[in-house]
Amino acid sequence: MSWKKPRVDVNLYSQGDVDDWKYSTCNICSIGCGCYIGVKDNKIVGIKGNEDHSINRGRLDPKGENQWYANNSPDRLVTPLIRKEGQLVAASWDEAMNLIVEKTKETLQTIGSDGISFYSTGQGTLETYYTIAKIGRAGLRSHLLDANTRLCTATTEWCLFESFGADGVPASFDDVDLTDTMMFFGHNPAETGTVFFERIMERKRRTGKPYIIVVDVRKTLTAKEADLFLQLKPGTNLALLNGIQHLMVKNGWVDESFIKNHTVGYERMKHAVEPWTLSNTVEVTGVPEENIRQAAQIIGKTNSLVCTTLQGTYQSADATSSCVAINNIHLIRGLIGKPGNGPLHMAGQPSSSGNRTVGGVGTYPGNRNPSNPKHIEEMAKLWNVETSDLEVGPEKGIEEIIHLMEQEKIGLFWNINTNPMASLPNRERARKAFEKTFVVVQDPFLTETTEVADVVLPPAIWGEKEGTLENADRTINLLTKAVDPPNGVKSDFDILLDFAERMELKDKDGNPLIDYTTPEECFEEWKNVSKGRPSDMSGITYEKLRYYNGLRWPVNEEHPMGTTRLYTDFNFHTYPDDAQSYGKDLYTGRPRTKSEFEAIQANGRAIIYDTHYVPPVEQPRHEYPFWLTTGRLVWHWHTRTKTGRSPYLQMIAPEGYVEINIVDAEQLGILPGELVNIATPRGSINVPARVVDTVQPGLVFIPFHYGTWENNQSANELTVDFTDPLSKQPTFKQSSCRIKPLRNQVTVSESGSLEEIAELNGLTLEDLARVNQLTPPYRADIGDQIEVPLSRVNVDIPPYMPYRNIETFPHFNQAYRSPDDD
Amino acid sequence: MYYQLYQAYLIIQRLLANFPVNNNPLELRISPLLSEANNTLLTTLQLIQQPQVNEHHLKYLLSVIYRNDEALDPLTRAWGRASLWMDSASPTVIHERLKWYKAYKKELEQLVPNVKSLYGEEEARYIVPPLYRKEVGA
Repeated sequence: MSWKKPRVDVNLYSQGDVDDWKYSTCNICSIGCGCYIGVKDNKIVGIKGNEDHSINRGRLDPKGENQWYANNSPDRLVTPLIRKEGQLVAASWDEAMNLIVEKTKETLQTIGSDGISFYSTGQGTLETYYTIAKIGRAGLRSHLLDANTRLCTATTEWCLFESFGADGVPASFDDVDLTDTMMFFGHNPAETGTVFFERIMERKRRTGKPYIIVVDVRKTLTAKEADLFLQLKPGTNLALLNGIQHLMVKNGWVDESFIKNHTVGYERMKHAVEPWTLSNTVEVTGVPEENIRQAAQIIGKTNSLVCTTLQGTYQSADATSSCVAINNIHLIRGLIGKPGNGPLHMAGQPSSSGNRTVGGVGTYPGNRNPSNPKHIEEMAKLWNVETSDLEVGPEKGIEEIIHLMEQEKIGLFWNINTNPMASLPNRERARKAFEKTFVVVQDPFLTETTEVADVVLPPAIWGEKEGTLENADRTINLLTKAVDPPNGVKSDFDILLDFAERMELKDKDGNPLIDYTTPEECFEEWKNVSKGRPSDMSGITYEKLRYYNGLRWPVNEEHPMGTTRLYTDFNFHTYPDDAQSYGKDLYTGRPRTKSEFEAIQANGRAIIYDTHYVPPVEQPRHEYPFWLTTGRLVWHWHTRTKTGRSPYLQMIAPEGYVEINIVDAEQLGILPGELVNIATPRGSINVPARVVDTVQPGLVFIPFHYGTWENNQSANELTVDFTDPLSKQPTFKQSSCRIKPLRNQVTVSESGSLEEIAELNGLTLEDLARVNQLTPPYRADIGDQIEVPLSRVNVDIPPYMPYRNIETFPHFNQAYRSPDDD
Repeated sequence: MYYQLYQAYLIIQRLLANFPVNNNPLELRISPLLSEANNTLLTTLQLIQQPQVNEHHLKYLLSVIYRNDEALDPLTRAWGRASLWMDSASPTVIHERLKWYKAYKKELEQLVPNVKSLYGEEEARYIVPPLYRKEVGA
């Protein structure tokens, strides 16, 4: 058991006792916390943590505690909507579904099967994803199945393909409890996975372990707890990792025997990191020499190591290469497949990895390679369809699908439980593309995306449906239905089954393609599909998931209680007919042919790659002198469709803002809370400034949660839509921008002194002087133009740190400082 | 087949003639792809002029040509956007190059019936990626 003591977090609002506590799993982040849903009069009235679940022992994230408010929100959609004469109007399910069927058939006839695209989510159940895979691939013969997981964890998938031949994170949360050293690389779990971070910090407080290294461009809440913090320049992740690898090789901190017996490619990697001397690495990354040296030494000598990655790596330049470099580090030290060891590339959403596993996005179900004829034949047999019905080749990412929309090559875009008009980069481009396509949006609420929808379908949400979720460490958890959905609302799963029936989708014998009717029956079919593959779940039942509080795949006859960590036999999925992908060239993203993959001769050994640094595509320059990065807050989830409906969360963090370094604010005369305009070549937004020391000078940070079409606070008005060449994940973290305070001009008159102007505008004289860059003694003559901020608000975002005594450790702290810093 | 491959080769020659344009980091990734396209197209043109064509080798070369363009296409589109946003090349030059990249893709699409007739529908699926060979009304 991971935690020393349980702590049951409860959030309940009920007049009188609840009728029941229904078993479930939190549906917010990727940690997969066990919980119970409080029910009274067929209504969700609260949530409490499951103290027997090893992942959380009763604890819940603040978003998790508050997720149930959305269920009862009065603005839930309870009927389908169809756009008529520009307006969305209520329609019956028959009308809406028949229209979708009509458009689907029309698209198949006019454009073809790749004129249909599904864009789903990382918040759904495996059963929904599997059904999307079966309908989309076997029923409609499309290979344009993507999801918002593209923005989230597509890089996890590709770095695992490249190094190990198949998806599935090698380490698990249990390894976090055992390891001597953890490196959080572009990962801020103190805000994005609080329960996971609390678990680590609880052990650290108790035992002093693990030693924590944090790599980030910002001094995040996670960085504040680090033993060693490497604050690097934006877009230099791979440069730093190459520098660390260089030192490891140079100092002989490698496991020669492991490299020889269980890997290929070491010599090429060695050659590639040769130029990454300390001085070169310092120059590119901006990290002090001693910090790099110390990181390399600790990683090079530690007995056990777990490295995590998340959006700071996945949404940055060189995303897949950086994650592969982290895999390299584990491989050259032989720190994988052993207790307390292994890369733990995280997921963001509660079941994004589940979507990949069952084939709703990415490859074919059960880690099957879409370029391998044997795997295509297996799938055709399992689904009883012709092999020619199943499309070949790697998937397309959302940027490529948008490009197809722009060319009017997509006739139907089916968007399920995600809000791309707020979450996609360069969203104005995306909007124009969506407007050229027939768009179906499945969402419980009106969102920025329903504004471009032709049909809106209202689905059930968490607590109103059953199924399974896969968290960030391969644990499959059970969701149960606590209450009925509101009248007029159907589950995603039932909507898809209805569509398949209306489309009369058949297998090759003329029987219905989908013959299961419940999520559990669907799961039984999926178990058979997964059998013998890396993500084998043939040993799972719903009952078993509930009894044991989740199980990690593979779960089969050999491992009936699941598998804590992968590759304990050091046998990797790199045999050509076992591999989930033949991979892509790490530098260009060019897909490899089977013969090229065979030529690597990995055959069960892991692949070490040479990783080559390429700087970010867009960089600060004269017109746009700042780096812009975006990210999350602890208080909100994605585009706030759910968390924005919790009064508590909404009150704490109600609107967007920009974080700017004190030095830059001083230079630009920006006051804390002052409204500023942030502009990039793509667009501009107006948000208040939060003046901090957590972003480095020259960098600004904007949370991406905010921004309707009307209020002009969306970070994705600004972001670039370049993608990683392998994973096709957008590079949200590096754009360039300029900042301009928004001011009114006031003329100094006889009756209006500087003091009076300051007072009238709620400013001190010093503030007014700073805004106008006046030096003491402050004076202005009649007729002079004085600037005053257009508006000013208090941007106070409280931290959430139950694991940290704020009073005792109020300041940023680092174990090591370079003498050069003094 | 020779005609489309030759046309494709000429386009790549043209693209390589004025490369790099602005040293945008994307050009670091585009460069090896252009070189690979150039070399593979040349080898393929030489191969198909042989009296006895090694179909196995030709299949490999064609597979590389298509996979190369699958990687090249999104990178060049991104390069176009980046160059306009960063004002790092003249819009005329950018649009001209994007036009040639598009023309190159078109040549590869027109090559598909030849690949299908040479290798059959089923095998061609593993040579040519879906979006180059999709037919209406599937």
